[in-house]
Amino acid sequence: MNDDVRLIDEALAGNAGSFGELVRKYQDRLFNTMVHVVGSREEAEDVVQDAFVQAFVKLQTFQGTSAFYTWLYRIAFNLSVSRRRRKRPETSVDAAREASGSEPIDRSDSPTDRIEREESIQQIHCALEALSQEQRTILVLREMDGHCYEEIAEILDLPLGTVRSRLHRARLQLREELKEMIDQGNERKQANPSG
Amino acid sequence: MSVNKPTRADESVSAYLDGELHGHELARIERLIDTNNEYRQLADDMRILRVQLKRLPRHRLAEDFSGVVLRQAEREMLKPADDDDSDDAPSGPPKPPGIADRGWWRGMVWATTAVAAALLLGLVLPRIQPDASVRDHNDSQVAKALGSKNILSEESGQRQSLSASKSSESSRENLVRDSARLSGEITPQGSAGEPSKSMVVEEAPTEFDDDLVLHAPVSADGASYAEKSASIRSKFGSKETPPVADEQDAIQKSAQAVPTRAEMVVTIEVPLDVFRRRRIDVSMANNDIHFGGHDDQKSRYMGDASAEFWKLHDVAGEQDSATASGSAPFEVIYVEATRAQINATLNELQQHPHEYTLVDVRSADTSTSKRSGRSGRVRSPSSGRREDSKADALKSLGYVGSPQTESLLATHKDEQKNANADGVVKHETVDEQKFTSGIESRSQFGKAKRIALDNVVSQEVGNRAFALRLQPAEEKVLLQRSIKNGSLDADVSHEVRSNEELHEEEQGSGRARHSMGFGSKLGSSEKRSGDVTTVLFVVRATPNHKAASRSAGSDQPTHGQ
Repeated sequence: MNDDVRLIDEALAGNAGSFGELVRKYQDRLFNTMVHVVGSREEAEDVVQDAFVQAFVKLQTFQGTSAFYTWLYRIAFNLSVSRRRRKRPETSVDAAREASGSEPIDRSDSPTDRIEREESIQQIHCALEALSQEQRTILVLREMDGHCYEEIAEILDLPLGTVRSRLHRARLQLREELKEMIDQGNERKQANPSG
Repeated sequence: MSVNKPTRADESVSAYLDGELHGHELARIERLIDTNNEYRQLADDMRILRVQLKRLPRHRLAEDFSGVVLRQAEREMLKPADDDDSDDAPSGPPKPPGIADRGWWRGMVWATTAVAAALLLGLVLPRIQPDASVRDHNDSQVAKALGSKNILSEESGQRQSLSASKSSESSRENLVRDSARLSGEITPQGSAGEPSKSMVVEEAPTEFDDDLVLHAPVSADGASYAEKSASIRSKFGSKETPPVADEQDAIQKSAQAVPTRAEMVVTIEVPLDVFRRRRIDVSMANNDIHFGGHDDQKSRYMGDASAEFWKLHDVAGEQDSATASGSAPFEVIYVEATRAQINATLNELQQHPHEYTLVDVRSADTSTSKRSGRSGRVRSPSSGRREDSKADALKSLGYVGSPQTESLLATHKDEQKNANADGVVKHETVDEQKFTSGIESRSQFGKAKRIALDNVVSQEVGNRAFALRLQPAEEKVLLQRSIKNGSLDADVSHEVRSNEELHEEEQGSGRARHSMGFGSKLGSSEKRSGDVTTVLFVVRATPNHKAASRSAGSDQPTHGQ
């Protein structure tokens, strides 16, 4: 965190490269989150870029009372909401496929494993798509980005109690959507308790 | 009892899993999970969900993303104040007067621009002047903004922790570095004085010939690829083609549909899962045969090849039903590449006998096409002298006298022996060891395009045409035809138009990419022209259990079930 403060100070002092370091530090984390939130890589890239630009332009207003990335996330989420209001959602199937990740194929897996893994990824994306935007956002912040309740509350500007209840409802909803997958997981667990 | 049954309101289970419970509430939920099956089940299910969510692939941005951001940010700051009608930054505590006001800052930016420009010209520009011509107007604005921002920081004295001397000296250096980097003149590792790859892109090598690089070979009737493609596009747009009845017809038909004649036809069988996963794209990419263009080695192996897979996933996925109904999915990939590349690709395919089976390699009967001026025609595998054809084909690919030739021919003879009374050829895999010899002289040229066959597009894709977005022109042509036939809606029509533009961009940038990656290796146009060959890869999917039986050591043929 001190590192962030130093970089912000340097950026405000005129060193654009320091802000570039901040961008590099958080770009992938924020991008990964936003891909799942907005459901499209292209859209997420736009949001992330705009968020960093806004952060740069408004950097003087950052008071350091919260973590920089929390502030950055708030900007990004505000932007995504603004964009969503202006634009209809993309085709969900297309978005789900697009959001399936750009990681290289793991050649160490067997073809069967690979295809099963990809299918499960698709299922999860479809299930996430089925959630409301609010539920999906909070789930992504918690499960994929690892934010604690307080951070989520700050990012989304919600009371802690709302974070807790909304997260629980999101999980219940996702559980319904992925019932089959969960059942399979339970079966595997029963078959191999040590695993 | 209902008292102990987890309900939507009982969010303690979630909070417990998140480590957000303490004291009495933590003890209560732990006890419930230990003693109540429903609570335990809920906790278990949520753990499984957590694991699954964490397994999702991570998304990453390009490494130069920060440069894009800084550039955009500087432009944003130079916008007139009226343009700034949105404010998505979280509202924080009151801003210090004069500091947080962007208008004030912008004013200072402009007021100090002249000074910054003077600094730039006097101190910096001589070092980067040779490259200055490639900058655009906005880059100079960026440079000015950066400079003015540095000066601004000194004059306003806002951050006293950094000394003025450090700010002025280092900021000048930063100005040079940042502005040059932002304008693409230096790489992060490079210096301002040395040309970067991106500069090479700007100035394509003079020995390059567009037609040779992008549209080689010219079709039999002398029309260029682009001309032929346009001709076929209009033909498809105005004429409905009857459905393809069977595979042979489809192969022949696809050969006719290819805008340039193919000299070779290579038929490959792959298990359905390999087919769906576009593994052949990777094999081709490994030998520099690309579906599009590639910026660097990394993206060539991973980014683009896997991206291609995703783009086409739906197309292949739809074909599961076709397999179930007895008609094997297949596709035709048209490749323009050097013989060495084709050779290397075939070798690579042969190294994975559990995934690929090289069924046939044939020369296309081009004599007919030469006479008629039409695209190359493919001789039916069941007719003519297959053995001779295969040998000739292999020779033309440079296999003459090589162990590969011997093995393939031996395999072919075995296939002939194993052919049953119905004419169904039984397949034997080629000895893998004989194909482990090095892949020699990877060529510097190669491109491929996937030919979407009539039945694939119209019957399998249907309204899910978005799956074909960003695909080569032939598929767009077929999409247009589908639109004409009423099977696609107007939205897709718009998409197709966009794709046309995109294709133009691809062609334009393709030259740059080639020149960047391989320009220095390319020889004369005559040499490349003589070296390039055109091949149709017919890729047929077979049920997955074929691979399973082979991997289990079974030599029993399973084809044709």
